[in-house]
This record gives sequence, C-alpha cells and structure tokens, in this order.
Amino acid sequence: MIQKLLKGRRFPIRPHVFFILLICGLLSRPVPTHAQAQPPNPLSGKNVLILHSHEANAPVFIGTDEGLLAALESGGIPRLNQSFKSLDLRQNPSPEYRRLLVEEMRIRYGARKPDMIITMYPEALEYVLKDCRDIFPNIPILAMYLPQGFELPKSNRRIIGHYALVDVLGTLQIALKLLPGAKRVYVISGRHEIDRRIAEQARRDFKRWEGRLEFRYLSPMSFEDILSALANAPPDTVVLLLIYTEDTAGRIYTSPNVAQRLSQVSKAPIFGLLDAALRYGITGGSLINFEHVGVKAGELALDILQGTPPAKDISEFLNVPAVPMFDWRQLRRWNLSESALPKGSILVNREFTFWDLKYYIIGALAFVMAQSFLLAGLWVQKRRKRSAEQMLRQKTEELDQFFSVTLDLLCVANTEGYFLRLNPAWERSLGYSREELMTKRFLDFVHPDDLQRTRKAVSTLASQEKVIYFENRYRSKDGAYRWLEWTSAPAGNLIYAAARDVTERLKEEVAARQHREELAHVTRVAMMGELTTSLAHEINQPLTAILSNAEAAQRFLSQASPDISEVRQILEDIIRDDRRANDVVRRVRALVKKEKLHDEPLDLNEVILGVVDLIRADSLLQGLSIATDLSPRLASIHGDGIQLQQVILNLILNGAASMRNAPSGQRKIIVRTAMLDSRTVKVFVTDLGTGIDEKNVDRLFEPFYTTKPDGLGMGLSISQTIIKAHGGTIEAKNNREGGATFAFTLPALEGDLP
Amino acid sequence: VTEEKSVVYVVDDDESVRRALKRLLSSAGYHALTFESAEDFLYSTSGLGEGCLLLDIRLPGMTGLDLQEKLASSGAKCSVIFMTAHDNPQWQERAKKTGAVAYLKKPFDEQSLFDAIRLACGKGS
Repeated sequence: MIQKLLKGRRFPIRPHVFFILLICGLLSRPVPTHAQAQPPNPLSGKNVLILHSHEANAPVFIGTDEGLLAALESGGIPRLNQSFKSLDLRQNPSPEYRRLLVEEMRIRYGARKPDMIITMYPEALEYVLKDCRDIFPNIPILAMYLPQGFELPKSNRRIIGHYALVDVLGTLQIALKLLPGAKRVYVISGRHEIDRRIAEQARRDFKRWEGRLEFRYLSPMSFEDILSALANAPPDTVVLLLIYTEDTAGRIYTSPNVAQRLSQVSKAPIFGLLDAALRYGITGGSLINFEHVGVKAGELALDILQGTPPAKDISEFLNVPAVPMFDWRQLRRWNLSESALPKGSILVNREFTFWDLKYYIIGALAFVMAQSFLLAGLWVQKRRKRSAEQMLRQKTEELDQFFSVTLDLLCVANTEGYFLRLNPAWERSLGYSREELMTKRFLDFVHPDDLQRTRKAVSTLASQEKVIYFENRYRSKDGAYRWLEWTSAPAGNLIYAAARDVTERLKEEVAARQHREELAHVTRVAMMGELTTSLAHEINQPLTAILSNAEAAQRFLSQASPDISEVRQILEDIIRDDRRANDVVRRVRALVKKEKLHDEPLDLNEVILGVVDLIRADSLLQGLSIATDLSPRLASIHGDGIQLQQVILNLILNGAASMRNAPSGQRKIIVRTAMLDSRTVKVFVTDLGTGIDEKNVDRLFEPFYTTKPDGLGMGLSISQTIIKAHGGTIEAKNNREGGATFAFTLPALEGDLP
Repeated sequence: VTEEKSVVYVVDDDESVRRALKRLLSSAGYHALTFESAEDFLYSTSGLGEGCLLLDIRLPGMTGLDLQEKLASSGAKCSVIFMTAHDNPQWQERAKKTGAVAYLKKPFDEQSLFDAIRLACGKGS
C-alpha cells in the first residue's frame, strides 16, 4: 500500500514539465542538477570504489553506473574520484586469478583508499569482505543487487544491503488494468538459476488468480517454440516476460534482445519487469529502472559519506521500488488507453502531435515573458520540495526507528484477519517470527474464550470505529497465553493497532491481591487472639449450663419416681445451650478460616450487629458499653462480609484500647451508620478515649505504626487496604467533646439506592 | 437431709446457667436461690441468713469480687464460692486473699461444686 503510494509520487514528472524544463534550460544559464553541488563541497575529496562482480557491459551495470555517476557527481564527488572496476569473477573462478586480483587492488587502491565501496552482486561483496579484508578494512559498503533471501554477513563495519526485487505482481496488475478482458497469460522465463527462481515465485503468487485467468508457462519450450506460440496467441492474451537470460539450449540472452525478438512476432502485448527491455517492444509494467536504482544508491552513498550515523542494532537496507513505465508507441500499437495507466507512470517514445505541442508553445512563450520571475519561483519551489522530501524521509526514518525500538506491539492488519506489518516487539513477546504471525489469521492466535469478543472488536473496526482498552489473550510459541491490551483505529479495510503485553502486570495484581488476603487473614487471626478471653467465656457459659443440667437429670432419673416432665425440660435446655456454643464456634471459625474473597450484596447493619454480638461479653468485661445507632434506610453494599467485620472489629478494639485507662462507666463506643449521599454509605465508630495524635494522623494507616505498647500496628493499615479494595475511603478525626471517630465510606449497591 | 436443707445463693447473669445450677442443687437436696446481678442480690437479701454464696465474678455492674469485699466489710458471715468462665490468675489470687472458700472454673462438675459447698457450709456454721 505504502509502496504503491511512493511509487506514484517518486516520479511525478509529466512530459510537459520535461518540456518546460528543457526550454528553461535553453534560455537560462546551465541549471545545476543537484542542490548539493555548491562549492566548497566537503565531499570533493572523497573516493568511491564501485565493484562489479562480472562483465561490465551487462545492462544492469551500464544503467546503474550511469545513475550512480550522476548522483555522486551532483553530490560533489568528481568523476576522477569514482572508480568503476569489473572483477570478472564469474568468468575467472580460479584461486590464482583471485590472488592476482588482490595484488592489483592493493597496487591500484592501496595508496588512495576509498571512503566508500559499492559492490554489485553478492560475489563482489564477498570478495571485498574476504579477499580484500586487509586492503579495505572498516570501509563502509553498499552491497547492491543481492538475491532475495541473501543474509548480510555479520561485520563490524557498516554494510547496507540492497535487494534486486522485481515486481511481478505489480506488472500483472497493471497489465490486467490495461486489458480488463484478458483471459489468459503466457508467462515467459529462461532456464538460468535466477530466471527459474523468479518464475517459481511468480507461479506461487499467481495462485490466487488461477480461477479468473488461465496461466500458461512457456519456460520448458525452446526459444523458437516460444516465438511461434506468441505468433499464434489467441486474442485476450497477455504476455508476461519475466527474466530470460538463458534458453533451453544454453544460449545467453540480454533483455533488449529478447524483448525485440518476441515483440516482432507477438499477437499479444508483452509486459516485463526490467526497464532495459522498454523501447525494445514491451508495452511496459512495474519496472526496475537500473539508472533509478543507481541514483538512489548514489544518494545513499552521499548520506553515508556526509557522516549520517548508522542506525544502531538494526540492519540497514536500501529499498528502491519498481516504477510504472510504458512505451507510448506500444500502447498505440495495442490500442491501450493512456488513462488506465497508474498515477505517476513514466511514458517513453512519446510522439508529440502539433495539437499536443500547441499548448506547450503557448506555455513556453508565457514562460519566456515571465522567465526570470518563474525561474525564481521554480527554484524556491524546488528547494521547498527537497526540504519537504528530506523532512518526510527524516520523519519516516524516525517513525521506523520508533517502530523498531518500542516495547509496545505495533501492527497493521486488514479486516480480513491478517497482519500486514508487525514490529520486532511481537517476536520478543510471543516468540513467533513475524513471518509465522503473518501467514496465519490473527484469530488463530487468540485464546478460544476471547474469540467472540475479538471478532466483535474487528467488526467494530470494520465499521470504521475506534476500539480502545480492549484486552485479549494471544498464544505465544511456548503455548502459554499473553494478555494484550489494545488500542486500534481503522482506515478503510486496514487496522492500525498498538498492543501492550500486560501479562506481568496482571500477574502482579493477582499476587498483590493474594498477599493482601493473606495479610488480612493473619491480622484477623491475631485479632481473634486478643479476643480469646471473651470467646472462652462465650463458650464456657453454655458448657457450664449443659454439664449442670445433665448431672441434675441423672440425679432426677435415679430417684424412685422421676419427674419426667422436668427431665424433658432439662434436655430442651441442654439442646438450646449446645446451639448457643455452636453459634459462637461457627462465627469464630468464619473469621479465622482462610476463605476466598466473597463479593456479595451485604446489609452493613447486619455486619455490624454480628461483630457487636461477638465482642459483647468482652466489652462488658472491660466495663465497656457498645451502643449502635443504625440507619434503617441504609442502602446495601457489596463486598466480603468477613473482611468488613474485620474492619469494624478492628475499629472497635482500637477505640476500646484508647479508653483502657478511663473509669469503667465512661468507656463507651458508638457505632453509627448513615447515608452520606444517595450513592455512599458511611460508618462511624466513635469512642470517648484519649483521641488521636493530630500530628500523626497521616501515619495512622501506615503499616507497623502503633501507639499501643502491645500492638502490631497492622490493624488500621489492613483496614484501609480492605476499604480501598471495596471502593471506599477511611479517615480518622478527633471529636470536639473528646475521643476520636474513625469513619469509612463504601459505595452503595447500584439499583439499591434508597 | 430435708430437715437441714442448706441454702445456696447463686448469682450469675446467664439465665441458662442459673436454671441449670438451681436444678442440680435442688436434686442434691439444697435450697437454691438465684440472682442475676450483685445489685439484685444485695437488694433482696437484706436479711441474709445461713448458707453460702455461689458467685460469678464477671457480672454487669458490680463484679463478684466487689460484692464479696462489700459483704466482708459489712461483717456478713456468708462463705463465698467464686465461679468464672475465665481463667484469670489475678482474680484467683484476689479471691483467695479475701477468704473465698473455692474458685471454680466453668464448666465444673458436680463433685467439685458439692465439695466446695460442703466446705463452705461447714465453715459457715
């Protein structure tokens, strides 16, 4: 997608603009072709060595060299400082030759070392890295025309790779756009290894068109048979010329040669992959333009020579996309419409009719009149465009950098369910390679329980709505699931999304909750320890009654005429007291038992009465009276009854402790409930004790802060944790009339508002 | 036995305990009178006669220990048996000092109770 856009923008030069520039050029002094050609140029002393792996007269070298030469020269590197050298390695594989060649290189370039080496084809790169290691250490290399899949060798020096990527699919799409009625495609390729590799890739890529088009692969035919097949091609045929460097008989061909011979006989338009075949009979296509590649390589070389720092830890690549180019004469020959050409296409061999020229002449005259003015304007525009392009490039580089280094998982996906682009963070998080992630539908990685929600999110995106704060689980390579938190935005059928791996955070939250529960439990058990005397009393009372009753019954029954109704009464009393004791045990067990947190609707008044019941005996013992003032219109809340009992118990015990030294009749605690507002329930525990130290009011709820000599200092801290976990707040204040009030709020249960 | 029925005054705030003790004491031939607080006992027994006092320590208002001290200072001759659902060494100490006959930890069996009462009645009479 992005590449297509760039393709359209790279060459926005139309024929009439060429013409205008031409006239301007004729009328003014020579216009420098590159803004960097301003003396004094720091690059004028730099040397660049360009090494071809094999024979220099191949079209690829001629075109690329031309582009390189032009770009380097306009960047300020004089021709004298550009050395082009053909290594002829393919024709001379012997070690003897390689050794002599090293000597030659030492003599030629040893004294004036190049600042930059540009190699073409992998053989040249390997030659520099191995054989010439001592002559050219640490000189940066731009390695051009590497085959697809070639891995750049690990090296301390800076190596930038460029891959020879032909655009077979782009060319087919263009052909089908120009010939919408096409029914069959003749695919022509040679039998050289490179030819075959590209043909195989094409065959795989064409799979998805197979229902619509009939593909005929002519590669097993001799060249003569191919010619006759083309001469007899039925209408509605499109010919796709891939790479043809060697025929079945082992003869070597160049692309202009092949294109020329095929087009002479073909009954169908031929589309190709290389610019070199254009002007020799092919109609066009998404073409690799060697000169254009050379220009781009030269510009990159200039950047490097100027000292642009290398991108750290990521491989650097030069990417030169193919350009849509067409032969105007061929378009006319096959009666193809110019309007169907993709935006930004380049047309060659255009013949201008007088009608065409009329406007250019008028335009030119206008230009002559306003020449100086327009020239200035043009210059400004050109400079602006360059700086805009530079900014765009800088921005793109910046974004690419962020894309690679961010810990977040970034992706571009389509609404059909495939990832189109992923950043390296995906590999770190899920353990899959990006290729593995892109070959399957992304739903295949989603946890089965999250599938339905994920599908829904995708359909929301497909209807062009954003999706934020979406969480689901993705399977990682080791089979474990990772929690991802998503923010996604749609753009047509594309989805731009950022995900964050929150697995660790969720684990920590679970651990923190468990820890909190444990701590609450431990302090609860500790608190029960403080209450043991009270509890012993509560159980011993019924036990005393039971034992005495049972003994009395035994005595009654041993009498001569036992009073049965009295014995029955005794048994009833025993049962009642047994239940009483059991009740106490049950309540204590509930507080001490380690149970999973409940979240249920609760009546706070009942929770409070449960606590007050439990410690009534103890409070009496201390001469303490606990009064309750509970609002009858209190809304329900939701939470864990045991934990809330713990908080209330803790606040009461705290209050009691603060009144330890007060006279017996003045030890009083009031527990009050009220609606603070329609959505909040509030509980107040008021004592008449010594009050709190106002200076340390903030520290009251800190763990291990205590004013009691035997206190652990965990009670209030845990209480605060529990109340916070229930969505409430807790506070402490001194009363005006003495003592302190601890109060906490809890959110009222929705739908239960009074 | 019926002729010399000894009186046992029981003071305990727990109704169930009062009922059970009264039954047990009756079945053993004692005459048991029960009170739910120290104040209640003081009120209704201004003419306290012979017998012993089975007194719970932990009571609402005046505690059992307070009551015993009050009785001792007023010169009453009633012997006191303390009972308590708590095991508190300080109380036990204090009870012993003030001349209590026994200190029963709840729950107690009839043997300990009757032994204590026999001791108290013997001492008291």
